[in-house]
Amino acid sequence: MTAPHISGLTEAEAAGIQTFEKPAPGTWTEALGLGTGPVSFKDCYDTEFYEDEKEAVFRRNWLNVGRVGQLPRNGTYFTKELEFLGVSVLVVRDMENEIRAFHNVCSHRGNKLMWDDFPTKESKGNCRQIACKYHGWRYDLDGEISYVHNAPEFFDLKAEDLALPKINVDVWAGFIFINLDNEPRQSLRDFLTPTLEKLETYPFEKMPRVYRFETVVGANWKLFMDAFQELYHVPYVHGKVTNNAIPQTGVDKVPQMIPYFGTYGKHRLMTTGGAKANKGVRVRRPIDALFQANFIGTDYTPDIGPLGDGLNPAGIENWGVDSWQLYPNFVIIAWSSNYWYTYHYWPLSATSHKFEWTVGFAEPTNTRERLAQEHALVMMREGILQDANTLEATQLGIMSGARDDFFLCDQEVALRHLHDVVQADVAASRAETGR
Amino acid sequence: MTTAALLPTEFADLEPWAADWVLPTLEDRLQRRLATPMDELQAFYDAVFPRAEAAMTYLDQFAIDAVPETAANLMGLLYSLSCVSVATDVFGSQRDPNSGATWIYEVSEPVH
Repeated sequence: MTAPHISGLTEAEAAGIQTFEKPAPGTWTEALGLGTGPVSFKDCYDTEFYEDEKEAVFRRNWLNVGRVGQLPRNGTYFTKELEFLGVSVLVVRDMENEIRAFHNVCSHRGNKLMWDDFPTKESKGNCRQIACKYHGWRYDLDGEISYVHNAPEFFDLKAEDLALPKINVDVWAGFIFINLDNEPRQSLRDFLTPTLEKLETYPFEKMPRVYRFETVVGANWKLFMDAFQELYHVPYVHGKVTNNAIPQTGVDKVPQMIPYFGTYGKHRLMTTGGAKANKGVRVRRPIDALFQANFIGTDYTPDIGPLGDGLNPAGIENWGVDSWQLYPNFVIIAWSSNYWYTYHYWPLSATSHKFEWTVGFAEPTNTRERLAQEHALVMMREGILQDANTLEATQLGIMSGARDDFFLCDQEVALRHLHDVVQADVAASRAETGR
Repeated sequence: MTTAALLPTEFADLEPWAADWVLPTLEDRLQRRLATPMDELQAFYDAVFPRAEAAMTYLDQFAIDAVPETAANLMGLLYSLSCVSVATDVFGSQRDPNSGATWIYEVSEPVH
């Protein structure tokens, strides 16, 4: 087990593989105050834990439900269906340009207010008032009741009792967040911490060419988060797409080491070299050379002006990617070739979730840039499919009862942090409610 | 009866591929790849890849927001080349051999 970063490689093959200094006392895991022992993944299948997690994690922390671009004008709205909580959120931009969120439920008989065709599907549109399809009650965009059909037939109706139940809402970096607690325990900005707050200087709006993808995965939401908060898997899961020169096994022996991990409150950052990592040991496919792109993006970097002062807080040389893991279920990834990803992981059950992946590119200025974007998308999508592939198998394994604990390395430190924070939130909530 | 050419005359040799492989979205191209036998994917790749650099050079003359229809179709063929290359160059099959239980749907993309 000596020099494990080169195990299986000849000296010549190992030359050029990047390794990085670790902080005192010599491991990321210890430096970030996390345990180094084996871990249980019971928090990814235990149904009692899952029920408590819904309350402790998803009803008490700020959740990103959309972007301001989804509400381009006064009177536009969209709904976000949080099926696992039984909550439909109605987000509107009112006539005073203020973004508001309500429970999407009529005060009269409880009918869901805004939906098209299928009440379980998310909807969007624009309106002057929020009208119920059932008996015609209407609400202004600030949630106040404005019309009750045949009102004299009712008993003691008071306008102040009829307003739509508000949901706490705030906006940061163009992302719309809600908090389902009656009174949020922290403001959104306190929740984000000063380091993450600065990321709002990143020019998301200069990369408006947005592609959205979705899938449902037969695994707990945290297992997919885990897949994207380490690069230890890359040589095995992505061997064939990262390095075409490797043998038919599809395994690329070149490890990808992470130069920086940080924790900020409940959130995490993983800064890596991205396309610049291990560049000296890569062999390109002819098609990647043709289109000048690959599964970690375009070769060209569009000029989008200043990138703000939030990226790369550790000042890593040869910076390639920041992967900001916003608690609980929202990830923002900023790439050095100037495009961004977001991931969202919405639980469906203890052992399944919906995954949303969004990509934002700058507008291409010529046909070659557009082709490079297309090829990057094609390859990224294959890569993300590969990441999703292993999850169901992991879910089955951890809940098989084969063993109680599993072994994480220092490159997987971010997993420990996520699971620790989730477990701490659940423990605090259980203590509060006397469970 | 002759139908109007989909591609610029300089790329008439690729015309037989245009009807099937000029498709509107990333999702459409992937679905076509998944539904096409490997030998046909390889034939498409072998026909289009050697012409791709010339096609890109041809497209260089157009501003991104003023690409004529036949040139846009040629560009569409290059998008499909990218998609097909995953089968021909990477996996040797229409899809990742380990992706039986998994899919990623595209739900929206830019309109232009």
